Amino acid sequence: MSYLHIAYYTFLKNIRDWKFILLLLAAPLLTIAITGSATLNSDRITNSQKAAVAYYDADSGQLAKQFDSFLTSKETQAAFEIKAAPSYEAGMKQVKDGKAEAFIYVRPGFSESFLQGEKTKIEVYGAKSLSASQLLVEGFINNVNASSAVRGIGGDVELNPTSPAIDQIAISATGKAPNGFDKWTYLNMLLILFYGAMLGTLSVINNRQKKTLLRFDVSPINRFASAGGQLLGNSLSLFAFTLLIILVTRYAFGSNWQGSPAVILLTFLLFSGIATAIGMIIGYLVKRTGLSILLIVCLNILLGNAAVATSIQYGNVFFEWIDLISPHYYGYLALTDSIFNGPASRIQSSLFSLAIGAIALASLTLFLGRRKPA
Amino acid sequence: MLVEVSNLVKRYKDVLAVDNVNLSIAEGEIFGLLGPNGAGKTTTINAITGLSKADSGEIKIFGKNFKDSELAIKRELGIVPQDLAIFEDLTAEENLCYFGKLYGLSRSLLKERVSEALEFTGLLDKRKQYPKKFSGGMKRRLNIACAIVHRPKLIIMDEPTVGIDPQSRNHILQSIRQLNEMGSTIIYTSHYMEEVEELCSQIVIMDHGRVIAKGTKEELKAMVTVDERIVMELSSLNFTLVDNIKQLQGVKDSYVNGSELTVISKKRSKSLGRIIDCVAETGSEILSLNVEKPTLEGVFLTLTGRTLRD
Repeated sequence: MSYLHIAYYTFLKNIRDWKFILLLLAAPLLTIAITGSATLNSDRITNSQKAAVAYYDADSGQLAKQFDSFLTSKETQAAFEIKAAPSYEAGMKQVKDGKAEAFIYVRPGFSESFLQGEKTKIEVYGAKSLSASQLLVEGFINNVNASSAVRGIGGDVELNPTSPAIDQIAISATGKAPNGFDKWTYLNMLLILFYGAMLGTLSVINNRQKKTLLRFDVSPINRFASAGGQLLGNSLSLFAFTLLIILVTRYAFGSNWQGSPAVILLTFLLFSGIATAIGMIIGYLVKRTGLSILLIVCLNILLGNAAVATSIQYGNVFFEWIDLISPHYYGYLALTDSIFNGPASRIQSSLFSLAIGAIALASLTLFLGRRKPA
Repeated sequence: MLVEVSNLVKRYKDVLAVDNVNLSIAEGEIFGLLGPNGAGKTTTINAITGLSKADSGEIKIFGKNFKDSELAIKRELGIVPQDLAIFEDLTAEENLCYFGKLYGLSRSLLKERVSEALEFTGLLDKRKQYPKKFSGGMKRRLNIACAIVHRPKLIIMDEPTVGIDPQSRNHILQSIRQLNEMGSTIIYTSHYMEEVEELCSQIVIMDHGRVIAKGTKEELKAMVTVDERIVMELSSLNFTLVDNIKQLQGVKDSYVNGSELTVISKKRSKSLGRIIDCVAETGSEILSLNVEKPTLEGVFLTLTGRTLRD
């Protein structure tokens, strides 16, 4: 009960700190007001922003025809600018010259090999490791594999000209492909929300400096209750600010929050917990307000920019390593994949990573903030 | 005994903050811990309340060992810290609810106790106000209210009247007496000897981490009744006069404080006449003369050679 009680009063104190609320609310709203028009106006995205994909089909079998039909379907054409190449060499040249993001190549004998149960593949060439083209091909292959499996057990299916991957790479509301700028708005929101870590830092440092910590130390509560209650209260405060920002952006700016509400809320809840825990840990270790805030700013720049670099596909090994521990990156993936119908497996893995991070950091916070035995 | 401290030792690196302190506090007492800043009072209090770990020694509260019965002891303990320990962005009532609930009081009982504590400290009509709008004295009273909201058996007050106006100080001292009459045992630390003298039934004087004297105020004063303290205000003062007085038979010490000359002489040494003659010889006029009764300040001065505020 002490945890909830401390959390309640921590929450109460936070929501009365109007200057901090103003900072947390005003910063994202101002940024979204200035830069967020792309998200709001995704209907206006033109064909020139579609991913250009070259393809050459060297096979004349049944499966290759299905793939041709899949590539030229209305749904695929809505998300991709598919260009047929006259030869393998010509397709590769288009990628090298930057005229196409990727080149899809179907080898001769592909259909026959597949129908005979041999291992075969559709080849995708491109500079980007996780390109939309790869998802497109994966979607088709999954569809084919599923059909093949059904046939294997005596069933009969017909391959559809479209694939579930089409939905995964297009905006569900409009059927238009989002670009990096659309997604950047969500990352920007995470970057600003991370400053909510200061709630944790200030609650720890103020409790110590204003001597109120003493009252918890002399009271008959569990030795983790003070830190646990503060962590819970600060996380919920930050989460509440987030909900407010979502509501304002949704109804005042018409922002796109049309992903799964559960995924969006869970992402922000875990992100709030992580940011608060990091803030409290810094508060326990550093003990000085100015230096703590400076560290939060530096950490936010490092973790946030690593996610930004990856989101704009600026390949860098250092940032890729930082992304492994960046809550911004996982939050960004979970949010944008949910809102723009990205792969469900990646949403799950992102949420799982956030949850693991939240549990680890919360444990460390409780350990550092525990009352020492007398 | 309600509190028993045996051979308490606490070091901070090379500094011996508390040196082999022994204390016995009976139920129903107002126990005074007197000493200058840095004497080891707060360190002793912190060890008693479990805020800091003693290097050696044993502490028993309510007959229980602190290490074995920490939570049970804490339930009956109230602490008024030297510094204000209140949340400025919660109202007076919310502060009491916050801290009172930590002691496991039920909602209805907590409401009742919060009103009692606010009334007791004269803050009932300010209960919805934020402490940032309070005067220093009101904040101190709220600091006390937070410590007594759960009606503890033992209340530890660490210099609760520092930096407040005389009116609030009187209110606080009156409250302490009332709390004691209501059954609470109180440990009161201060470097204001007048407060300790007025309130406490048992007094311990600490200096440099050690207990240098203990007993009732009468017992402590008896330690210095061998000396008389004569304070004179003179029309003019010079060092020759001070030196001449120091040479007089029966005079132990003589020093100047502003326009006042203080002379410490052995009791019944009949030195007063000789001192007056000595002053008259210099042509100085005695504007006032007072032979002071021994005080705790005098006791401390006699024991340490320093005043409490040195």
